Amino acid sequence: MSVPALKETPAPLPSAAPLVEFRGLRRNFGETIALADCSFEIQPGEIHALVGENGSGKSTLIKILSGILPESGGELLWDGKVTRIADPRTAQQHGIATVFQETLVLDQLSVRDNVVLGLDRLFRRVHSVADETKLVREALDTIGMNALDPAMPVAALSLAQRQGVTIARALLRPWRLLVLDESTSALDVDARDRLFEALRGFRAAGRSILFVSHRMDEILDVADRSTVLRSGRSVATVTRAETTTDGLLELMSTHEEAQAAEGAARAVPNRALGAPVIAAKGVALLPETAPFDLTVRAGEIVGIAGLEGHGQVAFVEAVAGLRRPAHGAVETDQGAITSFSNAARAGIAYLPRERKTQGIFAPLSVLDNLTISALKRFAHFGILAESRRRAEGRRLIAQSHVATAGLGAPISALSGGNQQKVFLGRLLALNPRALVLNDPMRGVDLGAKQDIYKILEQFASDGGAVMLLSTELAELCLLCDRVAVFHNRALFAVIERKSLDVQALIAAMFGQSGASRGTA
Amino acid sequence: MNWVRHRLDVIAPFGIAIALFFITAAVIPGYGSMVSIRSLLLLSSLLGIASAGQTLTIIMGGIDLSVPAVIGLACVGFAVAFGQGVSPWVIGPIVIVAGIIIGAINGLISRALRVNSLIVTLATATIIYGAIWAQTKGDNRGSVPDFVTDFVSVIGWTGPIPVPGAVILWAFLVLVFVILERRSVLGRWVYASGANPGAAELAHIPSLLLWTVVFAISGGLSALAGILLAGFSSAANPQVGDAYLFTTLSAVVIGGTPIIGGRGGYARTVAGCFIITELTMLLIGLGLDEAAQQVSLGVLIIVLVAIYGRETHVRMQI
Repeated sequence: MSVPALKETPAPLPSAAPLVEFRGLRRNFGETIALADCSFEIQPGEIHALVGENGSGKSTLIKILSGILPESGGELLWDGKVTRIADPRTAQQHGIATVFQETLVLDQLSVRDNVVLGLDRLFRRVHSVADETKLVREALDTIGMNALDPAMPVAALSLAQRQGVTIARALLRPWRLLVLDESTSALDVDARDRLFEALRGFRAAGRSILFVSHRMDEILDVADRSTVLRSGRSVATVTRAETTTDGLLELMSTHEEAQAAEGAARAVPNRALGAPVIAAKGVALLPETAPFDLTVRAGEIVGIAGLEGHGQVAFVEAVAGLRRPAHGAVETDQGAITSFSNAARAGIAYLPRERKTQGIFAPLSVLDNLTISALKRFAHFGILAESRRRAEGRRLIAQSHVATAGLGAPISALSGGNQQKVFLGRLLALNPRALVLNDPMRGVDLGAKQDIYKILEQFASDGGAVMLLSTELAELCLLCDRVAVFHNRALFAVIERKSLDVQALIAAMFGQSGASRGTA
Repeated sequence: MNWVRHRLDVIAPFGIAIALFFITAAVIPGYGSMVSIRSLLLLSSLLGIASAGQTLTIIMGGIDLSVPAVIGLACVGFAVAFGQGVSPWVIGPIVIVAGIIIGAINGLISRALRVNSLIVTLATATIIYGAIWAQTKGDNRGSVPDFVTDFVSVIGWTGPIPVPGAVILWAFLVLVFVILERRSVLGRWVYASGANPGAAELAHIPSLLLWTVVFAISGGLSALAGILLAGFSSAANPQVGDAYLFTTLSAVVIGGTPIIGGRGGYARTVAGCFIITELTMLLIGLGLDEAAQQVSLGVLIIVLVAIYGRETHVRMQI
């Protein structure tokens, strides 16, 4: 595996001194303490995982390390010397390359320009276009995305490919510490495996990686050591030998019920199934793909799975009325779904994938975010009855288990998990018959996930239908009555609860026969 | 003091408005007099009425550059028609409805075609100016009924209250707008739309209707301002609103409503209107010409934007 680097990589120091060490690092935002006391160190040639719920301080720590936020107290030692990383440029000069959680790409520019972004001078390129293209190809090859055309505009890329572009950009820096802040969440399995393989190569060359992920399997797979953050404090650093999923969960979990629920197998749902709410009939996503049927009944949670780009997202969007299938139709008892508003009238509430750009209204209050879709219910001649609206807001907060300082707090003050619960609460405010969810657990902490599970199970028990697209297979196994697996832009298999496990799902996602093929 | 630092962006416009008043009163003899306070209120109210719709469009994520053209159209239409003997009770509503229709078209086109409202309203403004010229051939003889002139007279009274009707109308408008922003479905939709247009669609906000209505409000209020300005200048003048492009936008920005939308409010614009009027009066009182006034206003905008810019940056949020 070639290790692309523009300049010579700074050689790691021969000593066994840590590359970076945090000593009681603190950061507060006004009264909010984001990082209370964080102490650990990263050795040269180490893959170090940082785990913790959203709001535990991971992102804050990474922003301090990347020169985006100044620390409020404590020390950061780089090569054994107390260092202040004043701005991103300083971080880069020290050899810190960060891939952030958000896929920061410029839509209008090509893949190549996005990858080399920041390497060129203002008025001239450092390398010729041909050299750049070669570098970009090498960097993309590291994560198995060599098929990507460097001249292609980023606007045409899938989320996974965009993520690949941001990783490739970081790899091209002359880095000594690569920081991956949940940057693997959107990658497909193949790209992720290639990336991990590359990370091991970097480790062997003495370079260090700080790795943030919500996926236990990834952490167990690559991390030499893991530091657990809880409420802004580093509570433990465990070595690879000591690391277990249960152990990490226990360390990071603030409430015991969370790990109890995660650990103990859930009782097989015993919900009464009612009439079909959503019925896909002869749906073909593209003119040339195979048509299929799929029904979701009242009281049922149906999972949707598939490798990135295998049609499952397109199908969910068709159910929400955001696109039309090439053949066939998705029907409700109100007839075929033809538009987003028509789907809404049939009682389908849709949760899009991108919370930030498609979901929340950042400057608006929690109350506004909860009720914005249902305002007319509280209005007399267009004027809102605030007491009724607030009562509904309180009900939705309770129903969605949102932890907030109050209804009037801006939603941007909430953690990502709580924002997502507010977003779900907005859908529940519509009193829908069906929830259609496009990867609702993406970037959500474990505590919030447990709450979302409860919301969905309650909704189904009350006779609602749930269509749940998720990239987290264990979660689908935990929640769903059945999981519809997509392969090659068509429904490949429907796996029933009794034979539902991660292996069966993966097999079907890869198009392996043996998974029970069928329609329902 | 922490509280002051955190809320600086809210305190700043109102604090500056009050401070400017006392500074001017200290510097210019007679500024504290009743007449001068009444003219401050009157001039602010004319600007305030013209800025009301602008504030809403900006919060929603749009901008209305047709404000001065609609003001000019309303001024000329009203004064010329009255001069030719049409009843003000007929031509007044016609002019306002025309403003509403122009605004509705602005909003409808911007949203339906997904064209930036800056371009659409600039185009309608050009069309309106051209149409006025084509219709009048530059012959803008007209007159204004006395009751309109009294309505915007510095020495006018409203019943027992010693301010002209325009000020009372403005006070009423402020009340309506603050309720509209905070307590109405439309208001919440306006903020949501400006905060995240992509999410607004998926949250079932009827964007096309919203944009049409909000721009119609802006058009209607611009036309109303045009009639009042006809009374103020007692003549039909298509250029009467020209200064209002810069000043309405300045009033919004100086008040602290960010130009990208989603935040702010009309109460802030009210403070902005007072600041602009006070500053103008101060500079005139000091004997400075229009050029110097413009320079000062520009400097003030930059200073205030620097204060508002201290607001937490997105990346600083947890």
